[in-house]
Amino acid sequence: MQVYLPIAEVSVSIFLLIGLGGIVGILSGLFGVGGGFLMTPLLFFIGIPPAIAVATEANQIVASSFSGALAHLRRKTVDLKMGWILVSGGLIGSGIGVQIFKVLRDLGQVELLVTLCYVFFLGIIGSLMLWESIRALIRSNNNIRPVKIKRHNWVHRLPLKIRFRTSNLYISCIPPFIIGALVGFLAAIMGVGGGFILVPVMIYIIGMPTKVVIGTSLFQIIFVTGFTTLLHSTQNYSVDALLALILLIGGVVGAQIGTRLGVYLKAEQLRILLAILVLAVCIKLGLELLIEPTELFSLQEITK
Amino acid sequence: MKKILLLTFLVLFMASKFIYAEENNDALVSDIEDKVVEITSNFNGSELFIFGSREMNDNITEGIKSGIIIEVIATAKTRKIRKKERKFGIWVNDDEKVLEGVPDFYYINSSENIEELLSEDEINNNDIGIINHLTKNNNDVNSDFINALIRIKKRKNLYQFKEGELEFKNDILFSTKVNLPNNIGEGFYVIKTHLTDGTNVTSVDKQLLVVKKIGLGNFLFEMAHKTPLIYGIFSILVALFAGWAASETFRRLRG
Repeated sequence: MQVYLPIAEVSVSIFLLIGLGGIVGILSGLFGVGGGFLMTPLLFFIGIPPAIAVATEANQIVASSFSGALAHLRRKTVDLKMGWILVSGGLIGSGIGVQIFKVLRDLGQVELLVTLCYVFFLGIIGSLMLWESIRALIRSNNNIRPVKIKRHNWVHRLPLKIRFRTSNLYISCIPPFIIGALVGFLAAIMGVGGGFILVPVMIYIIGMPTKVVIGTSLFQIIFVTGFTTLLHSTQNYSVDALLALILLIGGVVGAQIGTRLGVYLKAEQLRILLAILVLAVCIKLGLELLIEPTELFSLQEITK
Repeated sequence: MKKILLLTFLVLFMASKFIYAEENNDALVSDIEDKVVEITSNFNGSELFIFGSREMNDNITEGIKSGIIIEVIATAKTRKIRKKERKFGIWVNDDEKVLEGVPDFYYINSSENIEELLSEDEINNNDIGIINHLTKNNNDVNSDFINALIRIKKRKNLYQFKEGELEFKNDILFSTKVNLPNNIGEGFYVIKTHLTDGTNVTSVDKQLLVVKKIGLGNFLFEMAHKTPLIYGIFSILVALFAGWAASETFRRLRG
């Protein structure tokens, strides 16, 4: 059964869309990743224009992060003070990102920017994940304890210190603000929540306790992707609400299945598969830039 | 069954039109089955049935070909076309041209090759063929770009070339089916039928087809373009509601 997407202006099989949403949902439930960084390139591959894919994915992430954050708010595992600082940075980053997106769209270079960002970030994340999971496998075989992380670093010497009671921290608000802004920028350009950057930075650089990290990052992602959705729909008219709705139906169900599967499967070993998948998407996008395309010309409708 | 009905309908229609046509001394009549194509949320393409009849002209000297050319031309739009170049080792968009008067959809069908039905001057004067149409509107644009546009559109089945494929039922009646793919755009589609005497166009008949979006898709499209702020807020609210509903549903399922 075909469904006509009103903003993307293409017909796509509804089962393909729900299936994609479901698979990415399972992966995100299994590994605790947002899934935007997989879904957006998959949307490119099935023929959704990149500008639409990015903006629509931001809209879909509003739903998945809200659903996740609700559970964390109930369990009180959200550092709201930290969250709001991350949000304030995120809104600024998102604003800048959407403006750059708009300018580059008019110049016909937005696809290039999006693809380059994906090749860069997927390459780094995929390699790190692969490296980490191989090391974890070796460690679990040899029973070597992981190295303890140093908690005192350059971050603690910055000014404008604030006390965060939930996180039990007394640090400068500059690093969370900056990382919030970076994530907001990436949300606007790549259609990702940015959890894959936010979470490691919150743990390793800011030094937040692991139990509040996921909830706080989800809290920030709701506001930042929501704001990004709003900006993309007013600046670029590129949010396809119907596409987002279909994707998230598959996504929420998939995420629940994934969470349950995670109990039975050894996630550490599966992480290698996720790493390989991420690298495969990265290589495919990279090759599209390197190999001479069969069609050098492309068409764009002029939006007035 | 549908075919028989259609054929009966066609013959009756022709008969009625002919009486009218003779009074007007018109040698060509044409019509389309449906005047409106609606793009719904589960739109998967449509078929446009064009039919008509020509009056046999006894004055035509033997050996000269009288024929029919049918064109379907959608609303013209302004399009930008870009060419990729290799820069710093990667392929990026470089040169760009704005093309005016680009129809979203184009279809041509004829009883013989166009060159056998019309003189070259007459083809140009009547703007027959997509190349003529585009070149006239964009005479300063390199033909590489125009050819690329036609190639891209043809690949998406939005430009269809069926020259020489039109068949007559009995030298008078003709009909053809146009496949409108699922990626067609909204607008007014002009169906132009030309009767030719081998050199000149002797008669032209025009019909109009309306292609419009309806239903949920249309509602969303209109809102997104006319009231983008409300649409943005609406999209967020839908997402928030879906997220909340998912969270509640699975909380209850877990018990």
